[in-house]
Amino acid sequence: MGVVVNLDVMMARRKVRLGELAARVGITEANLSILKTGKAKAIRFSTLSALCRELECQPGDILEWRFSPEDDADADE
Amino acid sequence: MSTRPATSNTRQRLARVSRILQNVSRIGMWLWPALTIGGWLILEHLPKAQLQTLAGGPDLGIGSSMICDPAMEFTITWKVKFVGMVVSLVPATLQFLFMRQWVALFGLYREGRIFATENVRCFARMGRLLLGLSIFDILLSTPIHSLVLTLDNPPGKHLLSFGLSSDHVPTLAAGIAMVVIAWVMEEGCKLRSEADLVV
Repeated sequence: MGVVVNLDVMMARRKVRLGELAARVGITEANLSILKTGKAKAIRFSTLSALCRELECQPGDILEWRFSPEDDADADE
Repeated sequence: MSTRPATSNTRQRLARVSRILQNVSRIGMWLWPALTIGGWLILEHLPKAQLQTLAGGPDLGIGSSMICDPAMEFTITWKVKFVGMVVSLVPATLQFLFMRQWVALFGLYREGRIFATENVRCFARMGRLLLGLSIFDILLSTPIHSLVLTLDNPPGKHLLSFGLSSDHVPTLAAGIAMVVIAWVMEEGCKLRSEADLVV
């Protein structure tokens, strides 16, 4: 599983919509959607910081690491 | 998905220039086969020196200067014209397809798509077509033309000439360069698609 993005959970808790959050954070709706759906390959510190500021949360509320057997296999290599 | 567009000024300039080049390429695309067909239709009116050049004569360049006898006569009949036209349509078709890729590439640039997979495909196809064209020119052009131009000559007066010309080197080099550029662009596209997934 690796790193899981819980942005949708935080957005639901704060009752904020995608377009509104994208405008407040200063990124495109398409990019925020990429992050929300877990398709993103990386996140900039500036984006993470802006998200935490707007959602009033910590990075750990948005990103979470979950164990997966694939990670175990990677570590063995 | 976000893109990193060029500045609006550059983009406008690119679109404007691409539109002009696309139209020029479109004209060139049809002009080349038309000139090839036209050239064979008026073959008997062409200067003898030009026929000798086609058959591997003095103007062909390094390695071919001694091949075609200056006294060689060419019997131009409708059969010669037709066969010559058909043979010449092979490189002309490659030229046509090459120009068609130019038209497509400038069309993409016009739309502002400068680093898409379609661009890579265009470059790869153009490179392959140029390689095919230069290989045809190097290996087959002179022998086939010499054979065709002397097709209806009396027995003992037929000619089959082979020759390498320095004129073919730039086309071959351009073809190889275009294939390599396509590989580089393919890598660039991969990097771009990765960068697009950095939020």
